[in-house]
Amino acid sequence: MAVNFLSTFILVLLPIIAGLLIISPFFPNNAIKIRRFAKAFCAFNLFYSILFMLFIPCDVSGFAFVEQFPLNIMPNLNVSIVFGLDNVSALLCVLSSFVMLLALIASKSLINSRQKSFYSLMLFLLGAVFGIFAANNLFTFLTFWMLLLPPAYFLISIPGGNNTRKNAVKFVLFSFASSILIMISTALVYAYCADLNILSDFGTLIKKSEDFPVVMQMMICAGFSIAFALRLPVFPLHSWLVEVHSEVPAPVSAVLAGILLNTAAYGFIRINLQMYYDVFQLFAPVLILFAAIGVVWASCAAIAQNNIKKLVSCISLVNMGIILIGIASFTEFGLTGAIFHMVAHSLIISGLFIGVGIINAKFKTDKLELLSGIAKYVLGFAGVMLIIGLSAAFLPLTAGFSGAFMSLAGGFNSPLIEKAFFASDLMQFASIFATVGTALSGVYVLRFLHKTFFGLSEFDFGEIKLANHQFAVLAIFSAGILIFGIYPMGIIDKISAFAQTNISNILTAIF
Amino acid sequence: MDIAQNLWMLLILPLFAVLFTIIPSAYIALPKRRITLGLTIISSSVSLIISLIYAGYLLHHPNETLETNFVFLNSGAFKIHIGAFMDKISVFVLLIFNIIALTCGIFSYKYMQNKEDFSRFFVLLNLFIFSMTGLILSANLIQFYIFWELTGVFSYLLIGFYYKRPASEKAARKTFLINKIGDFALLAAVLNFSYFLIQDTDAIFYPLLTLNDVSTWGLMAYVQVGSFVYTAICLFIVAAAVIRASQFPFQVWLVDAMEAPTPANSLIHGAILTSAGAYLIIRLYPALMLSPVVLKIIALIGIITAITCAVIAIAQNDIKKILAFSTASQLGLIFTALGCGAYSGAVFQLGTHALAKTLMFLVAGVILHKTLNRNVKFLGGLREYTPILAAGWLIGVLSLSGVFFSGFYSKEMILNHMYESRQFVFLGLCIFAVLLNVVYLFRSYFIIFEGHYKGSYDFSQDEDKKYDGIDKFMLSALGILATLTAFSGGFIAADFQKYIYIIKQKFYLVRHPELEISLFIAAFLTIYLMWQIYGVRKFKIKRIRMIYRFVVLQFYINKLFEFVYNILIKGVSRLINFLDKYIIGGIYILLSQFIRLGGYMSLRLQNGNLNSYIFYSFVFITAILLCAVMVYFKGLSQYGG
Repeated sequence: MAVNFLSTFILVLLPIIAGLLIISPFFPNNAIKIRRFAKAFCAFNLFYSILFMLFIPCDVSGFAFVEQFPLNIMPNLNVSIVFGLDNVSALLCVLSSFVMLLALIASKSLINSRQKSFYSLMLFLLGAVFGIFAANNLFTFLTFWMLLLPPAYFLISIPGGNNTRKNAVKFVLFSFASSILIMISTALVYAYCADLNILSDFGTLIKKSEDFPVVMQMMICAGFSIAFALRLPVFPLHSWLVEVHSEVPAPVSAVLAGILLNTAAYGFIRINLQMYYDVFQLFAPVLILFAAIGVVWASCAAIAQNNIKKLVSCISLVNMGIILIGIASFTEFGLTGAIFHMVAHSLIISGLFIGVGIINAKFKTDKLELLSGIAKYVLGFAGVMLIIGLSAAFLPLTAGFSGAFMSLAGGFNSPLIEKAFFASDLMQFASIFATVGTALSGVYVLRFLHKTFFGLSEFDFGEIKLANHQFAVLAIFSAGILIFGIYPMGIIDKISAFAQTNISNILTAIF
Repeated sequence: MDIAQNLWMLLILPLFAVLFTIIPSAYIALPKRRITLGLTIISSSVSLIISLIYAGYLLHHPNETLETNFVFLNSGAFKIHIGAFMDKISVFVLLIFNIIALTCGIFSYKYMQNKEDFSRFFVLLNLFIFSMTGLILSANLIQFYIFWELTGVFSYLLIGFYYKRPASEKAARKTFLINKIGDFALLAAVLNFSYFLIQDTDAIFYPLLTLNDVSTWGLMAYVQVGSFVYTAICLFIVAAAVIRASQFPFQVWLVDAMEAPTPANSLIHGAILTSAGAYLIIRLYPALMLSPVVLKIIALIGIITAITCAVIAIAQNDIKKILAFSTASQLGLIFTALGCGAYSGAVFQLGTHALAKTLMFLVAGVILHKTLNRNVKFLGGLREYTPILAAGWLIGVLSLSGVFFSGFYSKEMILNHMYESRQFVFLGLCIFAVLLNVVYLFRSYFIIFEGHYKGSYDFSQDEDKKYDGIDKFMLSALGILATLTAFSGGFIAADFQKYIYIIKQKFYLVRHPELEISLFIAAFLTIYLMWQIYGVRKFKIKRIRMIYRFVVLQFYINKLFEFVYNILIKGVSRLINFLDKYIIGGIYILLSQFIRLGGYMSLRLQNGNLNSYIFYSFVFITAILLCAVMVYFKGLSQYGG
């Protein structure tokens, strides 16, 4: 690539360096300076990752900007870190830094203590996520998947409520289980093939993994599937998510739901779908079934929630289920829709979490029954939250619709329905079930909006105004939702080449 | 330049009005309300002129349809187009819609003037106009679904316009949720149709489901799936249409929708949004026709609604609720007509009903605006004070009841078709429903406008003013609608079936004098009876309490819906939440306890006793040796040893 000033290595390293600078004792312990420094670095990262996206041509599906750094920690193994970006990972990098930037802006008023550690940990987290998205071999992927844990753990456990320590441990145990499974699977990959060294990047692995014996592929693929299912999370493995979100500060929630969950969906696409499609087609119907059950389950749980934070985290579960249906459908538009919905879900859920955080900060409660008629005080806030909320109810012409529609259509028209030897009826049933689940979206979204914003204002909250930066963050989220809702092709043009080449390769190989 | 390209204008104009309403309200200090009104009037009247031009074009080119598309979503084989498609039906509905939108825009200016959030109302109104135009001009079923949901949302926002009122907030939520069932049904139908059409073709492509050739893809799907499944899919569409058109068990949402400001009610819930349900059936008629059962079901639901809602309307005292039930009942007649194959009559009735119902809503709006009173018991004798309103209401009543004016022609068309095609059961039931309509319509007229005034508003302060103290904006809106309601039907009735038909019939309009005369006599007898009961109060009707309560409470359907919502949705979700918390969460707690138990057990192994340590090392060494031996022998056997 002729563009010399773009380096994936710098992209990944920048946030980590910034985080180190902030945490270092030399940095002044001044809240305003810390904040501005972090935001400036994040904005630069956003700009830098946008440049990557612009310079990767739309019609290329392979990796660009590949860079390799040998590590001499284990001389015999010849380990190295390899980075590279393709359209999907560049898109997700842009999305991550965008969400992170807005979360940092919103934390001006939502984070009041331990700012130094908070901002540096947020930047570490961003660096780790960049590492996952930019990884170009399994070793790098695994490394950054594990590096994600410490900042996430501290971000969850720092605020110190009643259950935060417990929740943080729960999160770490689930994430650690997924890391271990990825480690075992990675070890299996390299242990099996003697002619592969640990340097081989994803492109080589895709070609080689077809030669693996089926049992081997099955073990590897199962390991990866469960690992990603733990973080996505898929239905019976979801119990950490709702509880973790219940006591974290809003910007952390926004980042956890808006960025972290995407890594799991990305893993499903990059590893399970791209490399081990031969056995993933056997797992896919099961995953679709669990995802569909999860959609309905989480919708029902969201309806019964009385805590707004838990309600929003249930909404996140619903959307992740739909994304998984799209990925596991093995159709081009299902995959495209899933990637689009990853973007849409990030915008929606981060907006909702930050809005909920603002409600919590202003009105000192997150119980639904203690809130009513907020719109009387802050009508603009209600309007913006209405747009974001209705988008979470899959309203057409907002970002929530296109991706979900394509994913569900993918589930209906999946080629696996004819192929799956045990589950053809089950898969159709699952798609219908998920569609029913989306119909329930109206109930919980309206419950949330009406109990908080509309109706008689029973409690006197006095004079309340929204700060400019808070409104700006929510307005930017809702503007993004409207723009990508009306013009979804802006994103889909970027990823369609990826989806097309991969799915056509897979379908020709399977059938 | 292709004439179809200009169809985009119709979609863009209301959005421009929205944009220029929002911008000055934030930044420029001008007489904002006049500007807002002006923008709305300009955009709707330009839309009206454009649709008139298109109507003229289509009249001169009878075999032509206009279509323009752009790609909304495209991923390989998957395509969703958003476009504008115009044929004679959509141009007719669009004309009616634009007239109503224009008059409601003019009317709202005075009605909303003293209320807060004036510009928010006009923004929502224009957004609704945008989405409804998109719905009417839909080029394919997926676009239809997209705009179908949008219209539902803007209707929801207008019902919840007074968001501080608990009643309004509750009504908005209820209407949205009931409509969401219909949205889901339509989505299910779209997904099913596309699924079966993909199966039909060898090359996998995502079907566009264009509304231009409904019969083609309908037939393809029919051949693919067989009549039973096809009927099931069509029933999804019927369910969507029934819920949106507030047919029998679902008329509850329309009654709740009356919490919206009256001009919004007249535009959305009286005339247009509910008609969108019928419009869906009209658009997909060639596909639905393939399954006769579906048509029978449509007719059955329609006639049940027409009769029950008319009966409920008789017992109502709220002026807006009477109109709401009237809308449901009249749409029931349209559904019956569609089910019986009276396609052109149904389309015609859609137009005449929309005009007359808007007129009546606006008259009710003026009364409400003046007297702040919705209960007809506290009105009465208004003819003396405001003869203009009485005339307007009477025109609406006469037209809706099918006795005079435009409504006469459309009802005649429907009844004639039933008579021609020998569907006497439905004909009889339809006539019965029409007579019931006459009963409640004239009851409302006599109660509101005859007798003595019982309200608190002092009409004598308006006596010196021009036009009975009615504002000139309101008056002009009423005038336009009254003129159109009275005379438009007669002008177009003669040629209507030449242009809008499903099967080209030889007879355009065969009149059956015996049918009309008997209907006339029956209607006049009913009107006379109403005059005796409610006008001069010669008879007193005795109420049977139980039946009256039963009717007033809409046969307890409302309670049923609440029961279902509470039990089914809330109960199941509470159960699932409980399971989620204690069963699934419990499994993990159990798991952690097991691990703790394991740790505890292994702790017990370190008891400091040398004997047991020697025992452990013995077991361990034996196991390793065993493994080594096994590997050795296996290795030998591999190399042939």
